[in-house]
Amino acid sequence: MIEVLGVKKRYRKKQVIEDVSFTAQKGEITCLLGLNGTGKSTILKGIMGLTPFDQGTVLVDGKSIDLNRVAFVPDHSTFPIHFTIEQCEAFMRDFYPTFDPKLFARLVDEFKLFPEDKLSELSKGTLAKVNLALGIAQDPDYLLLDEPFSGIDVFSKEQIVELFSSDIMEDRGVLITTHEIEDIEYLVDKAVMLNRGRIVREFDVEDVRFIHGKSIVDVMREEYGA
Amino acid sequence: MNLLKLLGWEVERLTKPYLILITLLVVTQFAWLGIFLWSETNMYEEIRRAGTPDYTLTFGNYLGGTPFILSIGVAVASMVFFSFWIWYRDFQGRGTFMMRLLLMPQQRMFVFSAKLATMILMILGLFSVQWIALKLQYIAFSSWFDSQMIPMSGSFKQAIGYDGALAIMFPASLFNFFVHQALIALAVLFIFSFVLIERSLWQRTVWAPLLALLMIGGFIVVPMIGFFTIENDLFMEEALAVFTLILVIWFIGVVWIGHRQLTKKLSV
Amino acid sequence: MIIQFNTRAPVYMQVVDYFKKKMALGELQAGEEMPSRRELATELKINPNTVQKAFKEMEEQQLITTERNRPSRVTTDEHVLKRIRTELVDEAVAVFVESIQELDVTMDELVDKIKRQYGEGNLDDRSTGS
Repeated sequence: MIEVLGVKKRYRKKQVIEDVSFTAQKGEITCLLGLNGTGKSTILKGIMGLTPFDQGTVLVDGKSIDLNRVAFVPDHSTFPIHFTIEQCEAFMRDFYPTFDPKLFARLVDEFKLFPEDKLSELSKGTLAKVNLALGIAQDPDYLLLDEPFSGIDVFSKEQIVELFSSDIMEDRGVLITTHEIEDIEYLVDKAVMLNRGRIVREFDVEDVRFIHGKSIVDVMREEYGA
Repeated sequence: MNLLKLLGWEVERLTKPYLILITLLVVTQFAWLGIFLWSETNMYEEIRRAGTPDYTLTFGNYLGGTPFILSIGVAVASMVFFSFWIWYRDFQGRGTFMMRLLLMPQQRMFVFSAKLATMILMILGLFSVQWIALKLQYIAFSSWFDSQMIPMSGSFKQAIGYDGALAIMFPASLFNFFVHQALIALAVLFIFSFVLIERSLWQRTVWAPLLALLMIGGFIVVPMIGFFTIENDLFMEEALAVFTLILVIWFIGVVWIGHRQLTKKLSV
Repeated sequence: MIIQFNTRAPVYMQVVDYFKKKMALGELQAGEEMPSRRELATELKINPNTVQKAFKEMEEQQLITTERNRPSRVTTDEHVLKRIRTELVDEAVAVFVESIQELDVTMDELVDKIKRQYGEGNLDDRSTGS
């Protein structure tokens, strides 16, 4: 379980995150929802220690984060654009001890990627798949994804969604941010809604459908709608 | 093992601009040497024709020429620039490679150490290339004037010893060499500290570079002011001891800053 | 296999309903092997936990039986299968009745219309005006 406990973050004069706490379970897909600029990415980066929080703690299975067990997939490439997919893989093999080349090869195959392609030549959808493959191949217990669907084509979306319901993701905990819930409406177990730097709702998606007959979008409309 | 891999990685990424710099340096110097030899020979001929040739030449005259000083200046400036660039290029664009480096499960100080080692290797490499280039230039210089039967005075060693920048690069004793290398490493570390402080603050305030400059400046200047105020009351050995102490404080300080910023403060 | 999901109803219930329909129509025979949970999740592009929940629900309703480490099978219990059919018909009629009640139609008129349309099959467009 990933526990985010009372975290706060300020940029310049703006308090981006005010006292946020929530949990994400292993074996479940938790979705961090919010309009653009509500600090979703900041929370993921904070969990990974890329942008330290001003206050608060993050625990992964009760301990401070171990980067061997938690992988982060940002919404942009983290490699220089003149790199080929192969070169990215070589780097990962060298410096990420848990990186599994077999798993990566399987993902390359499933996503129909060409290892000799340069990152600069790839479409946004393909780049998203490369990022995802590099993240999953670290074979982590927890996977954090920042806006994996934003701005990519329908077919890439479908492929990624399929991957989430496949055995590759079995037993992993997934924390995903998005502002377009439609893409993963049927994938998520739990939704955590963020508004103006605070958690406004945290709910089991099927419960809300069952008890209130509401979709995630209905709840979002209640919370964000004018 | 991992540190070495990382070092190899860092070196590889700087190789291209570094080779360009080295080539530029050597080409400029030899071109200047050619021009110098040609004009000096002409001048000597004129003086000789005019009357008694009361004319001596040292290798130091050549080293003192503007193009040569400039080439050294550019090399030094490039090393300073590389010390910044080796960090800042990883923050370039949205594809921040720094993120990849910070997400590595290894200790983040590996990244720091690899970058420091890369810089020191580059600087030592530059020194050795320059040394060989100087020797070759001296050989060309002396054999040309010998062949023209133009009198020359002073040795290679003297010429180097009189030149400010070269005396630092190629000191007379091994001990001095190590002291100079330590000082150079310290300068690089100060730059690293500046970058890491600036990159930790940049999302918080637009004054990040200024603040970082003030902090690092203060850290350099304050011990020095302290040293100069008490210097007159100290014996030579005492002053040396105090200065050594300050050096040690600086070293510990910059490494501590680097560690703290890198593990707790840095923001991408 | 495609299910058009309704976002406002629990997905696992919709999966259960989908299988009930298949069983009632005989597309899934008594005793037939169910698709694996994993396959189903991938095919429907839904969360595997949701599929698991649907299977658990179906087990509780005795629609399927699962032995340890074996694929689940459709029940061979005729009563259960009959019950599903009745249930589905009842549900559909309930929905129909509810919507027709809003229109304030007499029972005779309704029965008459049903008979006519049922007999004509799909040639029903003209009859709505009469």
